[in-house]
Amino acid sequence: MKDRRNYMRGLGLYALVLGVIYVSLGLTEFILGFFDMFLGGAPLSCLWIPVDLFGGFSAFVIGLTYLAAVRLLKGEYESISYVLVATMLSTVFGVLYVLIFLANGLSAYLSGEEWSWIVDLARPEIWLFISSTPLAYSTWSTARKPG
Amino acid sequence: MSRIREVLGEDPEIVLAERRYDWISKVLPKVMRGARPITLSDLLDKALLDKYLGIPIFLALWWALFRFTFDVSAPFSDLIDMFFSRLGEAVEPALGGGVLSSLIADGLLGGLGSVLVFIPPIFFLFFGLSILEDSGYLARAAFVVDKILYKLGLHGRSFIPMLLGFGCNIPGVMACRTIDREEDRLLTIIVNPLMSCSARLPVYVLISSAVLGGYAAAGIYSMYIMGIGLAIAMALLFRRVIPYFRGRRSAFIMELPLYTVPTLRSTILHMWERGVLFLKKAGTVIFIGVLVVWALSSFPWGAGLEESYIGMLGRALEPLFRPLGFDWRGAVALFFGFIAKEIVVGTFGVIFGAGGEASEEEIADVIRSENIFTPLTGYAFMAFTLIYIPCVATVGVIYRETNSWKWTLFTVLYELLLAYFTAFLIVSVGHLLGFS
Repeated sequence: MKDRRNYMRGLGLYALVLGVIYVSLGLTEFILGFFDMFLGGAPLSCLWIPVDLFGGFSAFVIGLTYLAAVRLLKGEYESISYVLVATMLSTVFGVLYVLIFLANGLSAYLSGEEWSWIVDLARPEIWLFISSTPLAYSTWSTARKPG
Repeated sequence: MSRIREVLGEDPEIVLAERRYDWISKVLPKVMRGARPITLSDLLDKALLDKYLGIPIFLALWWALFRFTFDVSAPFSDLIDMFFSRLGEAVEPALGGGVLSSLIADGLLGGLGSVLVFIPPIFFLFFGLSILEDSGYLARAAFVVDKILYKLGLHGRSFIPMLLGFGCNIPGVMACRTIDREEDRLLTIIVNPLMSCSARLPVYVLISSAVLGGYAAAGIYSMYIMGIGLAIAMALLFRRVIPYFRGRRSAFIMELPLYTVPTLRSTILHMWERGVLFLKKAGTVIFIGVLVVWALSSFPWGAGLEESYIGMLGRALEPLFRPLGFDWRGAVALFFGFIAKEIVVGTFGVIFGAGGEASEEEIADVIRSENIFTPLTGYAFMAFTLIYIPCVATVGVIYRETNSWKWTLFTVLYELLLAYFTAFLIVSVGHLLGFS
């Protein structure tokens, strides 16, 4: 019983860390995107922080979903549902950005144009998705167990 | 039915559902021992139907769908584009000059080819929608949005036909038959065409990639959100303003399906069933429409584009669209878009392909270089395309489902006025904010 409680706490801590990173990233992307779209340009340019209004919103939502699982720290099993959905969203966006990376590469190959692959690959959501896979594995296998 | 409602003092559907679940909850403890185990579906529902996170999650997933549709399909569109360009280069010199050469190069390869380039984004959109539907999530999306609709005084069941409208407005309008109350059904029918069907997607992709640069995907996404927003706003307005729509809403009771992992086979099958309609349309309505546009743009034979019949028509329409920043080419494309939205792109293909086959990229280049649309007027053009009546076939279905010319004509007229007003508002506010 105590082991299970500690296990839940571990999952909660993992989710909390990912939630804080996603929320910070999402807010930054969103604010930069807003500046770029409505105020004539982003005030900051960094390879690892995309200027993406709606992408930032999505990362923010993923972060909030992770943070909603905070009750796991108290051992509340049902809060695992937020981790399930957050890891699912992480996977959707991680895979999406990998597919966009591949599609841009194929487009560049077909047109013979130059392709800055590092920009596509530096999308932090891809790396956050990879970082969340151990958590995804643990939560999904826990949730699938009957009872 | 009204007598039953009077006796029960509540909607019979609600009473029946309540009694059914009462009975289930009485029987369950007698046949089951211990606490009911929490299933995976229960856990997923807790987060996906969350009071605060439900709608943001829906919007995030919708954004992922549009990035998938727009960005991931791009190289496949490039391949089709290259095919038509190479075909044009090979065919044109062999045919020499004359009417037949122009018909094949400008009409078929330029016009129809420019529409067929959009097969990949349409199929990708349907692939993504099928995954959402087969997994059981789309039903949850309707449930989540119902909470807002209900607070706004609208009918929650309306959202399912509205979601179907994302694929095509015809099944969307027909699905309104599931709504019991006649007033609710009619209201949902007349706002359904505001949901952005797949036929509008080629217009968005072409215009946004031409003028919105890095914000092309965001521009397309905003069209879909604008469609939902306007449908809700108009339904609300009609309910308040038109006495016929006032009154009590009928209940929205929905049994949510269990979540399932969609199989590749069923997803591809669903994508094909819906996508093939676009291919059939391309071979019939769009084909004929593009030929009409080609004929009007080529005759009187030998005259320049501006002196052709289409040029004359465009010039006659231009003053109407000038306040929105559209020139005669934009006006004439919208005019033919009445037949089917894909013809808007086909018209641009014929007009800009005059004298040679035009690839999607070349058409986008012409739109940029000749300043046909600025980012602002291009966005207004996309909004106009979203809002005014989707196609002749939808008008026919609205008539069949309402059995009233009055409501059919009302739908066409209010959508035209709303399209004009919205596009004008975008251009005016945009200018005030300093956008070009």
